Amino acid sequence: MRCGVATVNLFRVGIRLVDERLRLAEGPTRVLFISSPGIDPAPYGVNSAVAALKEGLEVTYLVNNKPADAIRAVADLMGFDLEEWESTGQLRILDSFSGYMNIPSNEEHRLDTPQDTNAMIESICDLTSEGNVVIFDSLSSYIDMCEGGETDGMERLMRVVGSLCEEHHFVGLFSTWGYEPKNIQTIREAFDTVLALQPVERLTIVRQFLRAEKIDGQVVPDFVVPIKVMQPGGVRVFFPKILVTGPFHSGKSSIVQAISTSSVSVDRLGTTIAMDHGYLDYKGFAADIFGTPGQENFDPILEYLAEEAVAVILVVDATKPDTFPRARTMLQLTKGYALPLVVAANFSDLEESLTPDQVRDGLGLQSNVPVIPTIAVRGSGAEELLEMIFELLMSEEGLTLGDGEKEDNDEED
Amino acid sequence: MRKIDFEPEKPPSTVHRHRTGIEGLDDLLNGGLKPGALGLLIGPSMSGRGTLARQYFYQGLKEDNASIYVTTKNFTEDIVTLMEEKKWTLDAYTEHYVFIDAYSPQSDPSLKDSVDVKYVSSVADFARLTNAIVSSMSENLARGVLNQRVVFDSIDTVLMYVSAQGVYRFLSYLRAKIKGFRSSSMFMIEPDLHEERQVRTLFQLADVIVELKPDEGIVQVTQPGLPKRRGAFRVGDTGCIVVPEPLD
Repeated sequence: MRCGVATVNLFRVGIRLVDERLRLAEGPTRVLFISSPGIDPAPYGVNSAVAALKEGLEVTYLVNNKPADAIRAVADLMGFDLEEWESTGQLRILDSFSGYMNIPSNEEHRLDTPQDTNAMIESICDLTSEGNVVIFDSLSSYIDMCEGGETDGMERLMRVVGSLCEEHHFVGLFSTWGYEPKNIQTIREAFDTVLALQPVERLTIVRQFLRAEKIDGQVVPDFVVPIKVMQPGGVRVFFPKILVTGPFHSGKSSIVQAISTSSVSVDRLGTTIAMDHGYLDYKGFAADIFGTPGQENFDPILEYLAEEAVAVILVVDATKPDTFPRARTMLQLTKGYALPLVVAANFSDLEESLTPDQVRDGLGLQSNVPVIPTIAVRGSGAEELLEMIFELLMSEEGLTLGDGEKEDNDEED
Repeated sequence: MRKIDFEPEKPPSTVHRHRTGIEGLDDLLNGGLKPGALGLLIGPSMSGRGTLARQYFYQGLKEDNASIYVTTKNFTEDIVTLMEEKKWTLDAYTEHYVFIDAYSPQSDPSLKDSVDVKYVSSVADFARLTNAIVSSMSENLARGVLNQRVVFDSIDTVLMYVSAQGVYRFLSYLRAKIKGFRSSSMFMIEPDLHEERQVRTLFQLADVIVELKPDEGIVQVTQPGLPKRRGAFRVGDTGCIVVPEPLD
């Protein structure tokens, strides 16, 4: 069974770096989010839906393992209001759950016989015009709910996926609950883009990573990025700790404030005595920012503050080269030499400030370490700092920022 | 020469067990459930199965354990009321217990989590259900509470909506998590509601099976490598009463 002839628009899943590659696709996009048990894939479905809606595409969101309201609640937590899109008919949440449970439903779009595969395909095709988006939440529950067990569930599922993928962008959410490996492989092969959601677990999940197994049919080696569902905010490539360090009165707190979306400082008598903390949300990236105190009597805690940092911004007063030895000591204490490093040459507007090359030489750093002139209290140079630190982080992850970033920036402006 | 007193060597400590609070049943269980044990609590409706599970849950609170109650077929308020009827009041144990309620959202999807209740919109949403249970155990561990117990009331509801294979996969994952946290657990099931083959499959996951046979007025305990133990069972005003049959 097929729905019609394909005429498709470009589709995004709302995740920076993945979207930059998906934009190259011309035909329907088939995206599989495959998650370890315990990671809830629903936010990734909602994120994809919202990204598509913002692009002007129509979305049918099929939900079979919870009430449709649960999807609205997930969206609400992520800071997305679906009501307007639903009221205009651009978004249709298709309730395939109440039919399974045999419970009443007030949903406008409802599948009364979700066990009937043909009826399901027909309903989705009726609702979704060609070239638009179907989100299927969830493929694994569909298998689990088939009375005939895994083999029967797989056979039915492949019919659904095969029928819907030809003319629609299709996003499937799948949790790997110990199915037969050959079945998991079959599902992987049915999709052009496979994004694995993987946990770092210490009894409980402490972090999530997104690993792209393939994008648009092409295997993508070494594509692994840390990821987090922000509430609110949606899915973000997330770096858990960027450290801002540097000598006393170099302007660290001002830099933290300048680059953060929100921040707080623990101060006494105008100087930081514990740490600064900021949260950063920038062009699809998110990060927690930790600023250290600069005074030597806090050196014993520097090592601890720097634990698990993924990058360092070293702030120096570009007019005071006599503080550079202290800056080098702080880099050693925070292990900054071993991490992606950017130097903020602060107070760069003052006449006596050194040039970036002079600052780099004065700090004894290699020529490839970026030095960005900043005037932290005015926020000048903050964007350049962010661009540079994320570029370094991405190259550490084996990735590079794509051309899409300029477009993103223009959109946000 | 200075005399050095060495501490006498202590005998190896016995494994701390999670008592059910039912003296005779704890005898049959050799002291209670081992940390990490998945217990299946089997019995038909009106057999006292729910009372036993609630008593095990409450005993955890009395022993400074953390207790987690997953309900898939009753409102949280109804379970609390049933506990109060036995004078098992929860007021003194705030933050030591949590209910994971996968039933109430069916009638009111707008329910929001509170300190003592986490809502999951459906029993079929395994990812969210697992997440709620594991995150609760994790939060307890983070507070330094090492002894935890989980009541799952009940598998019957899950089996009504999800295939037996699916439930087995879900429980296998949950079992590994429960063992990782060294929690003990009681998963309730009513065998007569399901095909025997389905139930037998789930038996493979159990470390201990507690079976109530109301027609005979007995409880039977099965543990691998040990002889089956039985005792007389009834529900009294203050909880369950078990009188073990003597060992042969």
